[in-house]
Amino acid sequence: MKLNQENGGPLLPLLRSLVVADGAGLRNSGRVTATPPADSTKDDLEPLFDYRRVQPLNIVCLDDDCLDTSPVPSPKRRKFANPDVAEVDLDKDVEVIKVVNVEEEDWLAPPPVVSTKAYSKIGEDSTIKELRRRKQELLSFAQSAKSMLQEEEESAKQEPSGSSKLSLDAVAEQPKNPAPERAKIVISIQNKDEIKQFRIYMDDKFEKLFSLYANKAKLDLQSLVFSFDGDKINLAATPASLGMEDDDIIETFCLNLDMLTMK
Amino acid sequence: MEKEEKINVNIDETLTETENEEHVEDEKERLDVNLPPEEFPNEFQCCVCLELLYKPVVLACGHMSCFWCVYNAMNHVYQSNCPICRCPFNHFPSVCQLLHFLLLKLYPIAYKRRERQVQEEENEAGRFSLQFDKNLVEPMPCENSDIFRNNQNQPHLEMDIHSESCSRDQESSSSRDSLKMTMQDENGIANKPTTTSKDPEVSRNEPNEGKSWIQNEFEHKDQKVSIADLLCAACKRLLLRPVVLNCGHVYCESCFLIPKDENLRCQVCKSLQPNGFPSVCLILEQFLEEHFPEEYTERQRTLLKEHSCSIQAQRDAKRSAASMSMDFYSSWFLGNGPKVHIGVGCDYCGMTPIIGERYRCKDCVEKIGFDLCESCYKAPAKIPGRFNQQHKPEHQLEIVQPLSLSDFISRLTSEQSDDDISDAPGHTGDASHMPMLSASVQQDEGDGSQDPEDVSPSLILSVDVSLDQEDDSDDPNDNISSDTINQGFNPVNSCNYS
Amino acid sequence: MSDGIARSRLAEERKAWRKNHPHGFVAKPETRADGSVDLMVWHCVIPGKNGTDWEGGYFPLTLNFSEEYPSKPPKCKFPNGFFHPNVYPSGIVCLSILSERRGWRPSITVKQILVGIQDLLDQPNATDAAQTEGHQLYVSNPNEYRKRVQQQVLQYPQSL
Repeated sequence: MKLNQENGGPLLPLLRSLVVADGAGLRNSGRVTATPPADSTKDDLEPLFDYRRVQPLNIVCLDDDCLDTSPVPSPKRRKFANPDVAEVDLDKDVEVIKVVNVEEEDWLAPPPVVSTKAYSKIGEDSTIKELRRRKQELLSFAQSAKSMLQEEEESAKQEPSGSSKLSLDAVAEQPKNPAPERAKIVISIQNKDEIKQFRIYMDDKFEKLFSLYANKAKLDLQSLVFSFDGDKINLAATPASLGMEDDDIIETFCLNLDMLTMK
Repeated sequence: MEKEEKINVNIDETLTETENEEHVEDEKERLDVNLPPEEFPNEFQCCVCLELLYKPVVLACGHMSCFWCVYNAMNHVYQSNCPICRCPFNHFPSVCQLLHFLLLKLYPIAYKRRERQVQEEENEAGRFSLQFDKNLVEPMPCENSDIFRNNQNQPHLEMDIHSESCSRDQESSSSRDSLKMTMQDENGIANKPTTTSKDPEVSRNEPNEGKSWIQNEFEHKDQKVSIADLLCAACKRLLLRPVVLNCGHVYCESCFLIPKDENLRCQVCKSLQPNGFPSVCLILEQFLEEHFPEEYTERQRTLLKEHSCSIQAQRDAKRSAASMSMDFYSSWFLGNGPKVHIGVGCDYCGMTPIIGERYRCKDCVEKIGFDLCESCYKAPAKIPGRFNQQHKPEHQLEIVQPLSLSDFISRLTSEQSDDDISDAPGHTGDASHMPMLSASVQQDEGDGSQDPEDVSPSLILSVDVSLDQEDDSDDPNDNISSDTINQGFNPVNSCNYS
Repeated sequence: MSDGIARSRLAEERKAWRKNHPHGFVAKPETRADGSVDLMVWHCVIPGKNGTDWEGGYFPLTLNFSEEYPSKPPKCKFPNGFFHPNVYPSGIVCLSILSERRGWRPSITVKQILVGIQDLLDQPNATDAAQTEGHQLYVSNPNEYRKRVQQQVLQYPQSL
């Protein structure tokens, strides 16, 4: 297990470590060897990152980098866990959104349908694939196994495929209007205390979203500043124009009087 | 930290401003799209590369990271620190195959993607890691008995790998048999109902009824994890408080016995466990608790009966982290002690750097060569090297002398261009090294004498005992001078590196 | 030796940051003049903690990553002459978790670095002086120290 000496790379660790041999490095490590490691890490890191006390697992949990993938139920999943509560909320929100969008109703209506269709396409694709796969399976079974086994397989498979057709039909009825596709995006708005998620069109002006947000927060739109990556968001901008991606965060700050006067 | 927790909570309460059906349907969309990216939970994210763990290596402190992430984060001259908790270690553990196959089974798509990605990186760098999963793509018919034979067979299977060596193509032929056995489990044993319902991915899909049958199909195809994938190497039952040894084998904490002679040894491959009694791998433990809640509590209950405090105390005592005695470095600088082979690790026990005699294989031509430490040379292990060396028993080994200090310095200065000597500004430059070096030589001796207990027992296991004694003997001489030097150096250093 | 891992790790960090980060913080890779993104240099903003003398300030910080990241910590730099006992005159932050030898671990994320530095602002380490001015005032003249901190807060208002 000799280091690869050819590309100059391997000596970098050597370099690094030679410096370790200077006064502080050795002294420090000497201390580490003398005391149990728990203490040595605690010394350095107490205020923030004492992983040893927290235990590695919790680090992962504390670290909120990947909420979507964390084992802790994320908001979306939680909604499924108790759909009743969520639905009430959502229905209310739907209404709010509709009110905001009254003037654009004609091109607002199709989108859900469109995406349903998109879904059903994908669904069909994979369904067909599945069916094809299953057919092949059945064929091979037929060749190799007894007819009894084969029959059983068929009856077992028929049931799910039947139900899937039903669901597909139900879905397929809906798409009727191949309206222009408008991509949607989920955006989080974070203030000092909490994060709220919103779904808007990529080419929708932020003005709509922000006034909705201000309404809900019972604040004057004028007193709120929204920023993305440290830059103030112009009300006329759209998620697309800022190059936003799903789950991006917009931060909102409440301007207080001092700041207003400063401006 | 608290702050982040708060954020977490808030997100849970978040209201999503979407229409209901739309949301569900979107969720479905995501499922389909799910195939290419395949999400994996945070706990299996490598905290170094922030991607799905690939070829996980578990350190003695119980933390895990990818094989290359650990290797790259290691200090090849000096004692290394865990990338997560900085717990010191000086042996590069083998890949934990149990976890490797577990991840492959849980997230086949993401794991395969990682495999391709890492292979590209390896090709680019011209260095390779062991391959053990070539054959796993196509499942094989099987009998249940294999599951139970599997672990017992491991020693001789590994010998097969060893003798046939581990070239990426060849190895599959020899290890194929062993590995297939590992993979047969899922076909042989019916899935536990708890597994499926508890699996985060599956539970997420439940609401989508229209889609669920397809999902079930996939599930079926993807061979979900069963208890047979998570057996202790010793008791062959579901792992309880799993500990992962330096050799990569996984035991229940209670099954890894401390023998009378105090030399911890893997009962499967007989290799020494150099880093003290390993800590429980908490991520794996949590996985067990989550996926097999009933079985796990049952196991806990039975253990409680057998539990003995004295054994636990013994374990804790053994858990003292492995740490490199500073004396070895002084002796390297002074040239009077055991040899330290900078940048060279032992391919059997993983000791990095090798202290004592180094045996280099003359016949292995790989970029990362094949080396053994003295104790592994004398008692050859039945495991493959750490990398992809095609080492064969008939290969010739030769004793190699370590780089001398002057060689080392000259190499250093010739490679200076990268200027990564120091992390403090105004601290770089060749000139600053020389005085530092001489000072440190004396200083580390001083430390050695102040902390006599710092001679780690684990190190003694793998190195000749006499080495330590020899080193201890020259300590007192420098005691006083090192103190003064300490004072002289401290202000500068503490300031620079704080 | 850490072949290329620096960039992929930083890309992951950035991805995670976009989805979630503490309020008021900014961290984005540098955009070069030609519009391309340089992942090795990040421009960040650390807000002063509420309820401290640093509240209201939004302090710019530059992170310089080396190719050896995450084996080695990034260099974290405030503007030249930043007033704080543990900041060098060059602006480089002196913090244990940012020292390869003392506290750095490859698992420390950009977010943790920034939060750590935010904590450091209000909780300087008196034993590790990096600049004489800040250190001396902090140790010997708390009132003047506070005044200087508040002045500096005004110097770095929110840029919105």
